Amino acid sequence: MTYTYIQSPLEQFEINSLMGINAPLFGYAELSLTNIGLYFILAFLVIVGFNVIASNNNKIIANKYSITQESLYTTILNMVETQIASPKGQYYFPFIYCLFMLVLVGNFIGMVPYSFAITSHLIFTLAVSMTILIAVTIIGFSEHGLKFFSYFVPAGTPLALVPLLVLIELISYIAKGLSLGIRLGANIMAGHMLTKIIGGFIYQIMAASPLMFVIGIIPLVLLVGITGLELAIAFIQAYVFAILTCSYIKDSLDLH
Amino acid sequence: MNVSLTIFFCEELIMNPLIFAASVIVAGLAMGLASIGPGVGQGTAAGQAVEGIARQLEAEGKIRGTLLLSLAFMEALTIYGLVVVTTNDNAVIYVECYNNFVKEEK
Repeated sequence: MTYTYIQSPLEQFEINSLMGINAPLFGYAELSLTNIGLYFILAFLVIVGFNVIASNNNKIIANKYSITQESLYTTILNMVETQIASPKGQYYFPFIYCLFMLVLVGNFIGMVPYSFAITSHLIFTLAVSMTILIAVTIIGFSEHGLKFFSYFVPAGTPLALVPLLVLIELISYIAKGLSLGIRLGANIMAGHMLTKIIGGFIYQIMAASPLMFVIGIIPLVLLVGITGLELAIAFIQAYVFAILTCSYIKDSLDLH
Repeated sequence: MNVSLTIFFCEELIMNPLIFAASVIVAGLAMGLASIGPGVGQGTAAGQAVEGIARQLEAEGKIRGTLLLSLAFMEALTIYGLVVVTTNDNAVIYVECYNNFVKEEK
């Protein structure tokens, strides 16, 4: 019987290559399917499978997946139309829906024990959030032309303070994109690190002696509570990501 | 956690214990200071939300939604502190292992 040993609580975040190709394509570049790629494919299959089951062979009578799908659709559509209160609000609904579903399903797949959380990697969340920042800038320029730069000058500032204020507003604009990615990635990463470290300590407590086994049930109950908190954070962070993206799109469409 | 992770990742002797001691102190200080602001803010927000629900029981759904959204924002500020501690951790491990590796080669 093989005995697998996790050496450190940070080993859950390692990206390992599962299947690789070593060929003279792109100059011996390392083309491989990594474990994070596998979990992205798994999230994709969960979302598509859910939608296929919810379509219910095109019957009119809904099964429970169908009702869930319609309720999810309506919730996100309401969120998008409330946040982006403009005639163009509905254009961005498919994007926000896909973003919300990917982050939500990714967070929930990561909560399964011995699994891998794709949203805990800052490289993924920062890539998405910086892309959203660039996209919002392009939306602003395409909508307002060069008047988009009036976004950086708040209303009613004296003319002498304008250069300093534009600099501060520019830095705050870039920080918006950075904070969106870091908020999601760091929350999920911190939650997973916390549960694994506490789990390691609880194992050492409970493996010591029968008395310590009984005493160790108290921190175990605490760990169950922390896992429940992590599930709530998984859902809330997905919601916050989607609603902040809507808010940035609205800021750039309306210029305050 | 800094010292134990270094023992996991590079088995050479730890050459400069001052750096590890400093990074441990900084980790504690950073996390402690980073928890003050969001703690006060989240407490105030929750208090105002409870008062709002007490005044008008029909608006409970909206108030709860707004409260959860605001709590997520304030939670992110503490998590920034944790990110700084983790980055400091990784930098110390990397720099110390690199220095040890270079000294071993000489």
